[in-house]
Amino acid sequence: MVAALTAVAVPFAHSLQTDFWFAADLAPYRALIDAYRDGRESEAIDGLLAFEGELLHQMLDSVGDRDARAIGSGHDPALNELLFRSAAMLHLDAADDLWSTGRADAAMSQIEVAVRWADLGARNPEPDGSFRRRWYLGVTLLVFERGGWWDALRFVDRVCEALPDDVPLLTTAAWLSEQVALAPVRLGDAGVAGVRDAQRAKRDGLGDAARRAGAALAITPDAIEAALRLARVRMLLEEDGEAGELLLGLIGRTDLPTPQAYLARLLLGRLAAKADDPERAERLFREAVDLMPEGQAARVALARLLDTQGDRRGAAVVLEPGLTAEPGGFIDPWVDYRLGLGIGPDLRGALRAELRQ
Amino acid sequence: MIIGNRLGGSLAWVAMLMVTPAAAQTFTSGVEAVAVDVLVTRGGQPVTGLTADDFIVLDNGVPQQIESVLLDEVPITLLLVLDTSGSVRGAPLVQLRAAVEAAAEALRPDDQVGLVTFSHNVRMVVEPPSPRSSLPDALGRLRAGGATALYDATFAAYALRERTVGRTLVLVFSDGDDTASWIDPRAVLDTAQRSDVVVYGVSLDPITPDNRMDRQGRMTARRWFPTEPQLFGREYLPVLVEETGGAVFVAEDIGRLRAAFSRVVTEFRSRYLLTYSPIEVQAAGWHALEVRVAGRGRSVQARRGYVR
Repeated sequence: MVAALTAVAVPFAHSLQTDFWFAADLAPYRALIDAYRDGRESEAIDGLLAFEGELLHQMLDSVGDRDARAIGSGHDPALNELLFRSAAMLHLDAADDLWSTGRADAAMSQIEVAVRWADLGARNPEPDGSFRRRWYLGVTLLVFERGGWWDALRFVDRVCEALPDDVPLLTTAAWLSEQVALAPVRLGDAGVAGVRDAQRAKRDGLGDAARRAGAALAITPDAIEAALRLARVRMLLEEDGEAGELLLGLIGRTDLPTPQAYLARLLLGRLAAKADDPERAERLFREAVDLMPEGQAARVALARLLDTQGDRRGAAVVLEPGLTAEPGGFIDPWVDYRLGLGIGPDLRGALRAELRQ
Repeated sequence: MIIGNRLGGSLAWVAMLMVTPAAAQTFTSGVEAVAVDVLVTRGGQPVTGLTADDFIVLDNGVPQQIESVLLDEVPITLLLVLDTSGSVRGAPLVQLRAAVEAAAEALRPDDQVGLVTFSHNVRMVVEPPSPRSSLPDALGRLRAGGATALYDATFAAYALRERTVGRTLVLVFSDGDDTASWIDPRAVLDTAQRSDVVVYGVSLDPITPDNRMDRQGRMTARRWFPTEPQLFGREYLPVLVEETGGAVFVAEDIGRLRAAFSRVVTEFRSRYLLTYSPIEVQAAGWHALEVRVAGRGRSVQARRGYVR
């Protein structure tokens, strides 16, 4: 079999493996991928959506099967990674298009095909910062933006199994678990038993978040966002001592970016207020305000603290500058922490640009 | 009556409300008087013309001597707190502007307004107290987009009460769950318990199979909210208004927002302010309030208590 394959491959001495295995019957599909790489996105997506989902999988099977037979044969030309990546990205953008028209199931089907393309280019071990790692993060965020918390959480569970050592993915998984655990639910007339079940589910979700963030820290002990998330989840689980240690460790660092320094002070201030140490809480909140005067969360935190001490006028004085400032493009780090605003589109934009270079 | 002895009678009380900022009306320190804003209804309609003799106020179970003042003549400050997150974009924002105009039309010339909007940012668009004529320009500048910081915005409204004059009515509109606030919703409830501001809520909560909750379910959710706000976040507004003695009006479609906003202002004008100086109760801590009214078929809406 290998000999036969080699013999056929000879005329394409300068070709890549995938060029070869993309047989003539797949030419229309290949043309769409090329169109996408050329920047003709709408044309490519429209063409792609004309294919039946099952047919797409069959075509991918034929490419994947042939690749699997050739890999390690000693006659294994380099994979055309750019093609695989472009196909993965094309299906991802097609999914986005379907979501925008309310076709969620069809969108998830496109994601499944996209994942298969991305996995065709898998490496063992997967290099740090590889396209596939970043692509998976971009997909997770898209599934969240379009499908919501639960779809994204299911998706990231799969991804973390595939890439269990990926710190950004683990941190994102921690974020998703944290947010799902904190999302309001409607329990209807479930009664006390229903409430207890929901509480348990919430704690389990927070436990998942702590596990994921902890795993990220185990791989990269100085991972700042993982430490912040773990600290906050510990606070939510009322493990205040552990949370405080993590936050003190962060605040003591000299390389902490301003938004994270701001968040660490906010969280530690909240712990201090809870521990009935209003002076320390006030100092931390004022430090956060000084770090980012336009930050609303710090002003709300400080105003609330002053309000509880009976200083209502002081609370208003602290809060009002934050209410009247022009926001411009500023997003409070706390909002970014909770919602991850803007990360997904930027990341996917960078991946697209990479394919077209 | 005690309040009369201290402040020179009910007319003096009304005069004070009309000219002093809210800080001077704070009954939590210095002045002993407590104010309880009360709505009396019968068959869903406000009952007017009542006097002090028609009410009984129990402070931690102890009957108090009261003086009632019908505040129809006292100017109000309407502090609007409006959700302008992404879900309000488009037609809902147009309807929201119209609803604010309807509320403004229900005001009187000497009433004042303030306008706070919130997405993931909370913004004071019209500083309270401002004349109601300042609203139209501000409404034209409203844009929708972003996440929802409902808890932070309602806390901000309490902080802004320092600026208001007369009686303060806070009207909160939101069509969704909080997704971006720093403050814990229980902290806002705590602030509410130390204030005499009445909060009314208007929400868009169309009944769909996904969000239908029967009466028992709603009662369960509200009872559990203070201990499990993360589970029962959607009950935040109903719980907050119950604490303050207000009400939530559900505009089941966006076209009914105008009527809901207008009704809030009208109903607020029908309320009584009962005042008393607490006797035979401990000064500090939580004071449970119970307000009773004479007459069959009448029901009373008032804050559940206060913290001193």
